[in-house]
Amino acid sequence: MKAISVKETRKLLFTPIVENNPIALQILGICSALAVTVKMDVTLIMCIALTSVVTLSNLFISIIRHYIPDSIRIIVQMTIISSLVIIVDELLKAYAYEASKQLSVFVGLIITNCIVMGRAEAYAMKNPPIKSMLDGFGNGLGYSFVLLIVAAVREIFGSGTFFGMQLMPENYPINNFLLLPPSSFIIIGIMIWVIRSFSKSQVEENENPLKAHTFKPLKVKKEVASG
Amino acid sequence: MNKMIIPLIACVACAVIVSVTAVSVRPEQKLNIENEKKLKILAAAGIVTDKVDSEFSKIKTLYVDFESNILVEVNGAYDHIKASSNANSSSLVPKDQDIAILKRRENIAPIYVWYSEADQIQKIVLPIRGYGLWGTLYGYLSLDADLNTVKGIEYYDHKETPGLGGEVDNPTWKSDWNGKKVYDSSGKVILYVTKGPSSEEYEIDGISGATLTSNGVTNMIRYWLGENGYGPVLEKLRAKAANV
Repeated sequence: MKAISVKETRKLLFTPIVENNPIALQILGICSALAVTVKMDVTLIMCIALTSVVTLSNLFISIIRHYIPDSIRIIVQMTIISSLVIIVDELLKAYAYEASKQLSVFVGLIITNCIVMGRAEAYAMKNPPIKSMLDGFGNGLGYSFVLLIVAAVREIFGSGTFFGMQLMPENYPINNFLLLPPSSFIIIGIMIWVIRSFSKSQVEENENPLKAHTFKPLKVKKEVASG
Repeated sequence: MNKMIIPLIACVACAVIVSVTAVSVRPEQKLNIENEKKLKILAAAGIVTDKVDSEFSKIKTLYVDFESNILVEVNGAYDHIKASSNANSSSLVPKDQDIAILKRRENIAPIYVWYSEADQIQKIVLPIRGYGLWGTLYGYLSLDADLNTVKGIEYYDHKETPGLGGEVDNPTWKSDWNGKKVYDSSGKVILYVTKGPSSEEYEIDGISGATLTSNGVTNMIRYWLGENGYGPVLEKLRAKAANV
């Protein structure tokens, strides 16, 4: 096993946070980002759970990657991932009962979280264990980064608290819209917009441009020429 | 065949690790569930606290024998939910009486009583359960000193749809129970979950989109507070209080 340089470690850990964020760029793992971001404390536990699952699953899958027959690789990955998720779920039920009740099915649904599967299939199957582990941890951080921001916005402006502490003035009215899942769509959308306005490389090419004759020709020509 | 050895070992290892974890954290999980039940008993009676054990020590646990409708002594730990699935400690509920779809009912059930200094009942919490839409709802109903006025209701376990039947956990809906009357003047259970908003003192707000859950709640109230449930014992306790 070759030692990994500091530069490479940093790249593995920190590119998934902004430059290659699993939620903001790859648009994976959205459903739990909508469902568990009402309160900071619950979100934090979800982030820790997902990060530890994706880190360890990448590590274990990478260790046995040469011995997994191609035809059953998904099943083997799922076995490892689901075992880790069950362990996390049992531990939460024993040591963080309140949070595990609020997370309810979403801990179990980490099994089907596209980030975990995606990293196992795209990275851990092709790379050595330590690198895979760092990659998993980095992606967990990327997921946590988005979730914690969404949860902070929703909790502060939704119920006026932060980690359960009253932050807004006493008579702050509860903003029900922010407490409901669809608000996360809007917050994540705004985050993607902000990230992409800073790093232009993330902006996707328009796959379905409007045909030139469908709107004013002058403007279209300019846009087509520049884009 | 050789190719399959590592995946097989991985599977067995996963299975062993999962089982070991599950078994080793079971005691902590049981403790959490017990604590949760105590919290719900207190919440049903309108007590919100962090000091569960000190609050719980103020409660006297009595046991109701449904065969003879008297209070009996039970020694040691007794789990009436477990007892209800054991043939020795439970009995079949006749089909025509089984409105809450229990199938079997335990012979002895606990009730939780707060006594005043003068040995008068202040409030009482009764365990109730019954079938909703997807499964059995387990909960507690609390009655005031007159053993007729509802103080509160709490469910600690159910499988109803979140947002529809799951609204039995909604604080606004639960608060509608406070002050409602269970029995009419002839001693019949008349409390029920209506459709739409409640207007009478024996009506509870209906849960929109959850008619079957609402009916399930009505049925379990009718069963457990009726003559096959705690009804006769409550009557005795009421008569005793009137005599003092």
